[in-house]
Amino acid sequence: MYKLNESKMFADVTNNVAIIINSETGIYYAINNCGSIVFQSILNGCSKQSILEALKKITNCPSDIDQKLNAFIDDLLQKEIIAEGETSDNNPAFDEAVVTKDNFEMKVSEYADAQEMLLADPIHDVDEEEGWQPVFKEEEDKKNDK
Amino acid sequence: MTNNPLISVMMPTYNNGKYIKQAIESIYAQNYNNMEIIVVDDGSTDNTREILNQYKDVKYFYIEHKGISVARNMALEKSKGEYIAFLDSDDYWLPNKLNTQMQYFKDHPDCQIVFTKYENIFENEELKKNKRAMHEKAIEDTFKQYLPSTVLKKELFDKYGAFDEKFSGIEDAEFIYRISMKGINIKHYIDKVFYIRRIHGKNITLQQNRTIKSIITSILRKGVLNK
Repeated sequence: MYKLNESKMFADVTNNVAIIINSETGIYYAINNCGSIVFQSILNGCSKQSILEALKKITNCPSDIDQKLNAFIDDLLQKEIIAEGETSDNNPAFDEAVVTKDNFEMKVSEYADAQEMLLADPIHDVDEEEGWQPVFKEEEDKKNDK
Repeated sequence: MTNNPLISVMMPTYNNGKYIKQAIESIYAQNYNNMEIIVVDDGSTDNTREILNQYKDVKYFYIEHKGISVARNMALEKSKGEYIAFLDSDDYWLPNKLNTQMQYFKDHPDCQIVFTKYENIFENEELKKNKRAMHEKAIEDTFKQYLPSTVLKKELFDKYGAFDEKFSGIEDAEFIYRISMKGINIKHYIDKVFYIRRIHGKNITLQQNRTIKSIITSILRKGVLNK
C-alpha cells in the first residue's frame, strides 16, 4: 500500500500524536489522534481495505468513512508524507475510544514555525572522526546513580 | 574605560586545535572594545590548550567531555556580560560584527536578540560537491536564525533558562524555538554576512541522526499540544 516517504520525511508516533518532519523544507506536520493511529497502521503496511474494515467495526462509524479515509490518504500523498509501498499482512486494531473521541476525523495540520530549528544543522565543534555526540541527561543520571 | 556594555563571547570547543586560532583571532579583530572571551574546552585531547595559552586574556576552562550543551552552559555560568555572543571554534567572524550588532540594539530598543547572515565555507572541493553541501548552500539565504551568529541579551537566559542538556547537538536551535514560543521576536536580522561557518566533514547532521530527530519530534509534539 503505502510507506513513509523516507527520502525527505521523518515520522514519530507517540501517545497517539504523529509528528512528521520534512527535513528539506523545515515544515512539520501533526496528525490528530484518530489520524495518527490510522497513520501508524499505514506505516505498518496495512492495506487501505483492512484499515477501512477495522474502522467500520467501531460503533457509530459514519457512513462516509471510506471518503474520510481516502481524503486523509490523499492529503498524506499530496504532502508527500507517504509514497507507494508494499502491503503487509498486518491487520490494524484501533482503540475505539481514540477514534470516537475525534469523531472519526483524520486531520493533518501543517506548521512552519520551527524552520529555524528543523533546518539547523547541529554542526559545531566536533571531532573529525566521531562528531560531537549527544550526551543525554538521563544517561548521565544513570551513570551517577551507579 | 568604556561606556559600551560588556559582551561575553562564548566559545565551546572540542578538538578543534586546527581551527581555533583563526576563531580567536577573529574575535580580537573586532573593533568593539568591551568584551570577555570565555572558552570552555569540552575535554579536547589535541593541542587546543597550548594554542589558547598564547592568549592571556582568554578565560579558559577545561572540563571532562560531556557534550556541547554542558560546555555552553558552563560558559554561560562564567559569563559576566550584559550581552552574549557565540562563536564555534571551527568558525570565525568577519570584522565589525559586534559593533554592527550593538548599533542595531541601540537603533531597535525592543530588540533582545539579533542575528546576522552567515556563509558556509567548505574545507575541500569534495565536500562542496555532495548533496548536503548543496543543501547547506541552498538554505543560506533563507535560514536566518542561526544562533552562533547572534548577539543577545543575557537576561533571556535568566528568564527562559539555559541550554537544555538533553538536546546536546541541537541545543541552540531548541533554545531559539523555546524563546520564540514565549513571544520573543527572533526576526531581528542583519542582512550582511558576519559569520563564517566551516563545513569540514564528518559531523552530526540532522539528516543522519535519528536520535536527534526523535528528540526534535518530542519538542514539536509538546509545542503542538500547547497550541
